[in-house]
Amino acid sequence: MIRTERPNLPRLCQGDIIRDVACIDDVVESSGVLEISRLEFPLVIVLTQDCELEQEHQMRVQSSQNQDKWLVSVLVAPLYNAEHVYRGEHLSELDLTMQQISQNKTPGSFLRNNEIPRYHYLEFTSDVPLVPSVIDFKHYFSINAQTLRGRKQSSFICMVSPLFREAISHRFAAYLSRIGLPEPV
Amino acid sequence: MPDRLDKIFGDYESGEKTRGTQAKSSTRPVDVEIEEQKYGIAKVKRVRLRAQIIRDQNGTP
Repeated sequence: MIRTERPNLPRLCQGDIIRDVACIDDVVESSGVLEISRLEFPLVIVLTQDCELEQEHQMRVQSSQNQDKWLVSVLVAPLYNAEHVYRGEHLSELDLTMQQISQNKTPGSFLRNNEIPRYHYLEFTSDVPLVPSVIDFKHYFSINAQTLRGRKQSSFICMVSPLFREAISHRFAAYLSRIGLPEPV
Repeated sequence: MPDRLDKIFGDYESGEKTRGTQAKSSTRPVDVEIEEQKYGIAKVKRVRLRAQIIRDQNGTP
């Protein structure tokens, strides 16, 4: 069980959970027709370091000589419904089949205990209107900071509390920086 | 603050109230869709948008 809060802050924060965030998947131009493919994620969590988000906000609200701390984009990861993840169906509407994880056997238990480096399991308290969710650290994308700030104004759900959000960030960084060694010859 | 799950899913059959999967309800489809989007039950979707590029007389888009 993780802790969350709803601070009344006018900026993005690490650990913010925001709904209905889109990612531009592809843009193709053919014979004068532009086709834009967009992935629409029901929920994402902000992974960018909170100090960077705070520094950017301070620099934006205070008169400053430069824009040194402004961010080009913010890193986010989708939250998937854990029930969908167990069944490997969380990307089914993209025609993708993911590996199943036996909910009531050891793999499911490992997932819920965050013992699988690839995933982070989140179970919310009863006052948060979210089902148990999973972050897949293979899935992340950046989004324009201004766009996400605007999205937060209308679609903010809650913020994962300090320590819990740092745990997510730390596990994400560890997964991203893992070193795959070759198989023994 | 959004309503709690048990309130949101009050119309759903028992056993699926907080799971958010395969829930069946007599609720109108539009309402279900809104609830799914709002509470993270919906899945990732791909949306394709097409736009005609209009060029001026010089051929500049």
